[in-house]
Formats: sequence, structure tokens, C-alpha cells
Amino acid sequence: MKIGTDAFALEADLHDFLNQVEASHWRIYNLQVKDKIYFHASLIHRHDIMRTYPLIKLLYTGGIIGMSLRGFFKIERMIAFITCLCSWFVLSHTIFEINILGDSPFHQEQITQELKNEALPFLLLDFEGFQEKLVNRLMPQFHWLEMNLKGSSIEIQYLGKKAIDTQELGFAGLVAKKEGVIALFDVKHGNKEVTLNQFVQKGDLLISSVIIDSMNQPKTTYVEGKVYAYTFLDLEVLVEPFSKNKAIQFFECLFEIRSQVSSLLHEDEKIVLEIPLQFEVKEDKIRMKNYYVLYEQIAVIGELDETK
Amino acid sequence: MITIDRHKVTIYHYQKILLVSEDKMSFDLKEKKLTLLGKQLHIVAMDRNEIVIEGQLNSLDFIYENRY
Repeated sequence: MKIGTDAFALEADLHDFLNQVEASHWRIYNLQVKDKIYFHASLIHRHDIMRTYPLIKLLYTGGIIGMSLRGFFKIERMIAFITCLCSWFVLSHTIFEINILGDSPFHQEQITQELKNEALPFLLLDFEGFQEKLVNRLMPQFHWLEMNLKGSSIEIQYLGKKAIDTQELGFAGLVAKKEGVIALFDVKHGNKEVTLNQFVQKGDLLISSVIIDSMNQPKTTYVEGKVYAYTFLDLEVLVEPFSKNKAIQFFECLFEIRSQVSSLLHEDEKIVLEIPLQFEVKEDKIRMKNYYVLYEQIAVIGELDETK
Repeated sequence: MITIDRHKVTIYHYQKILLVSEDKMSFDLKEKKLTLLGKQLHIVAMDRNEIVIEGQLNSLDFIYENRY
């Protein structure tokens, strides 16, 4: 099938017409000579032909273009075509999925919350603007944040900022914040004033800024480091019983009390020993008392600055 | 070049159409003149370089203009 042809009827001398076709470089098909000259010609020659023969009669347009024009000249097909275009526009500007790629659940939650606050519009016509707004808002908490639109989904990739220890070095000694038995030293600067397995009380000096040099002269130095110790803790919880089964009640208390202990611990700290001391039902509540030995970092900066 | 396929004749690289009728067609080719004789001859397609003729072909003659 040809792309597009016009059917013409022309009253002219055949010989002259054919020579005109040859001279004008037209391409014609289905030439028939009856009362008039009937022929088809490519659409691209229509203007030339009609200018050369002003009295020529254009009968109809055929080929694919003619078929399309005739086919679309029906209201329901026009509506279908416009509906199709509208659907394409709407679907291509609607976000169906948001993927957040990164390694930190905390930052992921931040992004999710911000997206909820920002209220992603139904039709995202201005992705660049939305991206800029969101990235500007979130950027202070991130090292790197990137949003990409892939079809009907947005992909957000991030690299969250980690807490940077900006503590300045000082000369104040490190003291024990609670009593315990020294288990480990992790000292970068300073002089150890206690030894391993030594029992220390709250407020005892653990690391000082004074070091005795080889000439037995005191020298001051910065103090920085951690001191881990075994500490002791009695903890008691009182909870509503979840079940009448005593074993389940016991575990209910145990989980609650462990949850409380865990909230006291930081990175590198752990429970060393756990001894249940008491477990009883009291006034429709259950009570548990446990004894814990914890492995904790006990050194804090003391108020005393030995250099002064 | 000329190709003949049953009732269809295709002439390539013609220079000029000299005569067109139902029983005779004549074309100026380079250095020669081509005459087709037959019945119900008609042109079905043509452009600058090519012309397609259909009909009952009886004879085909070449006349060389510069013969020595």
C-alpha cells in the first residue's frame, strides 16, 4: 500500500501530459484514458500538479494517509484517540512507586516522613521543582542525596551523615561515673591512675593528665579515652500479667526488664550476668527483681582540671 | 533497459515520449528509438526514469539513429 496518493481527472492532450510528467519528474500510477485522463499521483506532487493544471479535478486521496483521514473522520474514533492521549499523559506523570535505596533505616524513615509531609501531587508535572525542594530540605542530614525519575517510579538514593565526634581535647581527668571493676582501658591520651580488676568508686580518678617522665618530672598531657568496667545493677519491674500461665508471666517480666537494661547500654556495652532475684504476683501485677553485671564504659570528664 | 513480463513492459531510462496510442507507442531512448505495436496498450505508471506499459504486445522495434 502506498503512503498517500491523490486520484485526479484531467482534460488534456495525453501526449502533452505525459511529457509534462516526464519533465516535471512526477510519479504517476494507474493511468487510464477515457473521456478524460485519470491517474494517481503521489501526495508530494499535488501542489505542483494543481499549479500546472489549475482546472484539474482532485477525485479523492488514497493510500495510508487517505485511509487514516477517512478513518479518523468519525467522532467516536476521535474521542478514542483523544482519550488515549489523555491516558498516556496522566499515566506518564503519575508516580506509582517510590524506592528508597540506602543503608540506614533512620535516614530512610526521615525521607519517608518528609515525603508524607510534602504530599506528592497526583500529577507530578514539575519533577525538577519537587526534587529541588525535597533535596534542599533533607540535605543537612545527608552527605549525598539523589532522586531519579524512572518511568512511573522515583528512585531515591542517599548516604546519611554519621555523628561525628567533635569533642575537643582537654586536660580534665576522666573519673568514674559509677562504681565497678575495671575491665579494659582504651586510652588515647593521659595516664592511667587505676589498674585492671581494681574496684573503683563513683568519682574516682581513672585517667589523669599528669605523666611522670623519665626525669621524674611531671608533664601534662591531653586526656582522652574510654575505660570499661564491670558494673552492678539491681532492677525491678512491675507489669500487668498478659497470661495466667506462670512461665509466660515470667518471660513477660524478663523481656520488660531486659528492655529497660538495654536502654541503659550503648555501643560496645553488654550484659555479662543476669540473676533473677525475685518473681511474684502482687495485687494483680507481677513483679520481678533481677541482679545484673554489666560491661560498661564508666569514664566521664571530671570537673577537676589538674593543670590549674 | 527493457523488461518484458507477459503483458507488461517496463522501459528504463527513456529520454522522451514520442507517441502514445492504444495500438502504438514510441519512445526516444539514448541513440535509438523504440516502437511498441500491440492492442489496448496503456501506461500504468511512470516517472522520470521508468515507464510501465500494459497491454497485448505484438512487436517491438529498435531504430538506431547513428548507424554507420
